Amino acid sequence: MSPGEYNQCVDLFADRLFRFLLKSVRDEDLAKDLVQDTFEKAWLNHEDIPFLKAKSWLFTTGYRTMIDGIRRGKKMVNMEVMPEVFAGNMPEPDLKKQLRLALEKLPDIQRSVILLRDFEGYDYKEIGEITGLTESQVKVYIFRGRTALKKFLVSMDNLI
Amino acid sequence: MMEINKENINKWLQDLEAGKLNPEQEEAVYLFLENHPDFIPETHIHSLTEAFSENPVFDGKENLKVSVQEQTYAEYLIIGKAENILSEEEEDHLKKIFVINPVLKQDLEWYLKTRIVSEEIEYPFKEQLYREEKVFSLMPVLRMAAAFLLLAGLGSLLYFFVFQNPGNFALRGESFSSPAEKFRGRYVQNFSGKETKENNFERSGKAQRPRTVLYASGNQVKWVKQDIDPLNTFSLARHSNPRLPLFISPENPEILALTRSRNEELINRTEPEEVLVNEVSGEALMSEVKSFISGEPENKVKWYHFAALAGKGLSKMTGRPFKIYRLESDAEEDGLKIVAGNYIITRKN
Repeated sequence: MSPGEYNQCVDLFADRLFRFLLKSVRDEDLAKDLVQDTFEKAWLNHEDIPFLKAKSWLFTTGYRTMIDGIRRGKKMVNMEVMPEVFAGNMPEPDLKKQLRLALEKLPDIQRSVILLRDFEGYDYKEIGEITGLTESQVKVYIFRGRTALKKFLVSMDNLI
Repeated sequence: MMEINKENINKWLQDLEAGKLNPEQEEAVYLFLENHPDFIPETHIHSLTEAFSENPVFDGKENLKVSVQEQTYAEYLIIGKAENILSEEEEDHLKKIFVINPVLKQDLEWYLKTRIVSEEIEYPFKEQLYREEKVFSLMPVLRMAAAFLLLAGLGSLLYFFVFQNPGNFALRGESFSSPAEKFRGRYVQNFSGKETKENNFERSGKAQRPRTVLYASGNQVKWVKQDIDPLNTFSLARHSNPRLPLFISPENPEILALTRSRNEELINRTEPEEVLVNEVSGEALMSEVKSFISGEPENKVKWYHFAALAGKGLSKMTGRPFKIYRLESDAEEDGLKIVAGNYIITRKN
């Protein structure tokens, strides 16, 4: 893609990639670094990346950069240390808050595939390409994740 | 049914022995005894032990397995419905399951709630991600280019007309005393001083540059043109060949008239043509002088022009200024005489 198309990608996907990484790592600073790293790699390879596949490339690279960072021992913040950006300044509805809490309790891989599914609307095959999983594995992780989320919501509902 | 407790357990045991209890009541008694083994009568211990060690077979096990599988499949269909990935066949199947077990619809509602609603989160350092080769507007560049060209043009005008010729810049409306005199370092070449006509002024020593043309009426400059008049063929010729001398008109007052009564010695004096050696070409006779002496000019104007060429050649060779004299009728001869230093060249008609 051309430099102009690269800048267009910044406009189109920087926020979405940041949202996905922020929800995945739950650390605002780390998510910012990951976005910066991902776009740095994109610029270095921009001549080899077709514009139409740029989004998939960015999310794949962002996800793998995140996994590499985790493997290198970069911190994953505690659930209690939630950046303000999650909540924003508006009061959250109860369900949204509970869902956010439930999402944080999921294993990393389940959380990532559900975020890619719900935030970006990727199908199982695309999620598999991004995460390096097979389509069946993605389906299993999503189903397990949904089941866990549902159980959490039901249990919270029963408590109330 | 009466509740089984520690007070009435003996009555229940008696009824059990008498065979008066139905299967549910029997099950309840056995459950109580299992939880309160102290009340088991010794007469029953053996039979109860046998009953618990019998490895009982549950007849509905297979049905239960089917039931578990169907529950899992139903859950699969419900999640699939929430994920919107079911085929038409699976959709139909799920509808039937909902008819049989409407409670499962609540599960679907819960699963639908697990879908995460997208949030608007903005990456705060987007500006740092952009690269230099952004799409940008040409307007600022064009404006800068236009400003640069304007400044360059004004600078060039200033350079050529002020700094290059300080004090030599003729202005429209200026007057000069005599048409034949130098005017701010330029020579008047063809000016009658009586009527409006084109007059050529040339910068001293910079003949190769485009000349300033003054249009004058009388002694006053009417118009200034910093170029060569294309209608003036002589000007064009001179521009293309800077070695050409100044155009000299027969009426030019700089050409002095010689009369025998006043200038006999000068009229009679001449130099041997052979001594005139062109320093450049090495020819015995300078080509310019040769043309003046032996050339066949088409008219009087051209003849004077040849005289000017020869005079310039002589001047260059001797390092002295040259003058052209016109032989008047009382000199008994018609012709021109060129004097430069000690050299005098005469052409008689």
